[in-house]
Amino acid sequence: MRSYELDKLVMLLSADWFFPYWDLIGIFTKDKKKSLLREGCREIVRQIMSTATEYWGINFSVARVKESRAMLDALLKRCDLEEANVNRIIGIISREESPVDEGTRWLLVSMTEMLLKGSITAPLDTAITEGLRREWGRWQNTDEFEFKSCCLNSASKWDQYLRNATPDLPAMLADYVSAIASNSTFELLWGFINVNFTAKQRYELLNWYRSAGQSLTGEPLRLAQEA
Amino acid sequence: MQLASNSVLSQPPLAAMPQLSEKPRLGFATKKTAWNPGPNVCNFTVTLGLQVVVSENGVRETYSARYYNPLTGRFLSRDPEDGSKRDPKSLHKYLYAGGEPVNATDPSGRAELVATAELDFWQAVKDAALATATAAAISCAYFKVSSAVHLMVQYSQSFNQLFSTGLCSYGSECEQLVKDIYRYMNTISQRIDDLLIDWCDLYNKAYDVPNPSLPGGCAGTTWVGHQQQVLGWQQGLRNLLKEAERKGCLIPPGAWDLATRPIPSQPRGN
Repeated sequence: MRSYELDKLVMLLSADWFFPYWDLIGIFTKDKKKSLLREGCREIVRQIMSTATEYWGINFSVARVKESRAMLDALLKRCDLEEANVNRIIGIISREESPVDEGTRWLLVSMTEMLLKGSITAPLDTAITEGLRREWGRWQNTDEFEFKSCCLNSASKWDQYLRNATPDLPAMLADYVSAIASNSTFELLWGFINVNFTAKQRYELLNWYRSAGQSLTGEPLRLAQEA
Repeated sequence: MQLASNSVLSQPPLAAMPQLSEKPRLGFATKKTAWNPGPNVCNFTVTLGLQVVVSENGVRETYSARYYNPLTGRFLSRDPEDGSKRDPKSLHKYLYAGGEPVNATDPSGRAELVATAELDFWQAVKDAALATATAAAISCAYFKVSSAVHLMVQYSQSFNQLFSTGLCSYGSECEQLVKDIYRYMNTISQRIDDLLIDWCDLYNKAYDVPNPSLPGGCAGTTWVGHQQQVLGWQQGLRNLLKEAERKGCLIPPGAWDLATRPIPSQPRGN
């Protein structure tokens, strides 16, 4: 399935309510540049929406996405955004390239969190759980934040326009922030498992993920690639 | 068990149970959900505090722990009570209110005996029925959700209704969360169903660009748009689950699956 991360990220960066929180998704730059980017993103949102009243009814063709991408690339250049920030933006809109699907990524992160909080138990070597516990605090930074109310309560006209673009899901962009955070956590978690655990530990942990995942969803975990 | 008799149905059952596939839902129908009671819904309360609803589509539903099919006048799960041999009707495990649903009610669903059909699926509901005597304990913990889409819709209704009657004492934070979770599950199920059925033939005629020549509500929509909409709902459900998990709320079975299930990449049969 094609991904439309670019659409969602551009909508998010165009929002007034999200302006103070860019750093929470890993974009650290000055307000002046952020303002320029926000205005540029609004132009791209208008191009994305074109004549559609709802986002679900837009043109999702490859040609349109390419055009949006070209606009974003030009905008990033025009704003002279720092390389790290450009890389972060490209990283977010390219996350569909991960070999593990989004639902599974989220599930792995959730199961890890439940494991570390003790809401589910696992017969795992303590070296594994302790290793995960040590890192976990550094990976989680946005979870406690109430994006939803910011998104829903913003009185700015542009934010109202964005909410109306997805009338059945007015807080879609707030949900998207959590998705970005969850994906980032997954990347860190996956990388950590690969680098820091032995083959035996990885095998043990993945087996646990598989069985716990199946218990929760009733379906085999779609873990195409071994850590 | 004594049948409740001090309640009156405001109207008789009118029609068959709705089938999700009986009518195409065109477009995105973003402001409608199949189970959201409309303005024509009549509510009234029966003896044990359980509620019966006659909805605008004519479906009468009892939100007891057992589920009642108004078309057949039978429960979909077996009655846990033994019944009396002197009253043959009371021996039937699936009859609602002794077969007289208009004149009598059996809100707990625990009226009589002996089964015919086997619907294992409803075991969870039946189990929950055992708790109905203490209505507050009812199935807040126990609503098992099936992957069968329309069954899930019914469950969602029942669950919400239980809360709205105040039967479930669960803490308002969790209560609202779980209600939202069911709402999301319901919508995701419907949308997945829409994708699999693809009434508008969007997959072939409007894959990623709206096709103005399509009729009615199909014209402004695309296959990919529908997919993206489901993904949006899934993302919302994941956040709700995360929140529920952290607050220690009970998470409905089936929710994890719907939150992570891959979206159909093509309609059924393609």
